[in-house]
Amino acid sequence: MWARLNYGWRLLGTAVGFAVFSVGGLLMALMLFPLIAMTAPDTATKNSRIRRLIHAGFRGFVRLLSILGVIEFNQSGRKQLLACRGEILIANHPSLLDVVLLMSLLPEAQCVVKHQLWNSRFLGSVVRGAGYIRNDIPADQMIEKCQLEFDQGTNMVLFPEGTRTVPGKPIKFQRGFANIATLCGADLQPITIRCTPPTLLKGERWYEIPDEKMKFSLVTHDKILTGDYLDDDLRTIAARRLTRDMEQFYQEKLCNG
Amino acid sequence: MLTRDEIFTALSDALEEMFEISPADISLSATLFEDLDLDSIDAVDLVIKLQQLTGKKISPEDFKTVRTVGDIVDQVSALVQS
Repeated sequence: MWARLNYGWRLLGTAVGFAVFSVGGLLMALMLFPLIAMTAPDTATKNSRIRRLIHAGFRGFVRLLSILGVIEFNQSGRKQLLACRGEILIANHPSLLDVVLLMSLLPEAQCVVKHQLWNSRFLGSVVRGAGYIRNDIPADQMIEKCQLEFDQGTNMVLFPEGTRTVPGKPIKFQRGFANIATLCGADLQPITIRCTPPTLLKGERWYEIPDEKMKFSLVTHDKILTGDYLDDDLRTIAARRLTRDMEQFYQEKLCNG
Repeated sequence: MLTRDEIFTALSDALEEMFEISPADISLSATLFEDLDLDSIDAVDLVIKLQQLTGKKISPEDFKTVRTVGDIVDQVSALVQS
């Protein structure tokens, strides 16, 4: 009986969560973003204000989900994240909520976003307004943009898997993050995100919630100094070594506790 | 004057040294991005390396149409003859 009540409550909470996210996002896109766009003196200020607004929105959203009892969020890595400057924050990507959780902890982070979102009715104005980087621009332009951000001390969030993690399959990283790290000389801050039980996986619908409350944890690990890799090797080899090492690191962390 | 064979050998050495590609995988028909797992950033590094090897300027534009190892040999061969 209790379990059913609990399930029903969390399903309702999840529905409320999705509704608030949609309506809140729409209100932001329709009212707040245009307001910021009109009042900001230049693009950099506009981007920065919109990123802060996204952060505030996500923070409020995560708080709401926690209060509703839909999720429990252990954010022990928060302090170390806030101290990052001009670094690449890499994370595994188990769930739809990862971006929201991460951005709720980062006041003003840059990210590379899949280009399909640029034309999305819902998220289009968000990703354009925040000045995020499209993943389909030529490599040299991408590096240039990243370098500018690092120079200003901005951190960059990247999911090296390129897509949501498939449970049970070995972790496979794309080399993009290592290319950016080795070309811009930015250090890496590895983050592991855990979600038990697995939920909001790729291909799952919002109402397919687990039998118990979703517990998320976000843990930071020791930084990886890119310079150590570049000292011994050609950049191209360093990027490959870095990718392999990180792949193995995540494989071990996520499979063996 | 470099022959096509010499260009191929030099290119194979560069691919092995820069990208850890086993010489056994390198053939004229091997595609750079699929078979040899290069990415667009690697291509930029490779162009720089080829410029050093040939002493000629290679524009990234010329390199856009390149798909296979054989395409590079053709390009470089045309370049050193010009």
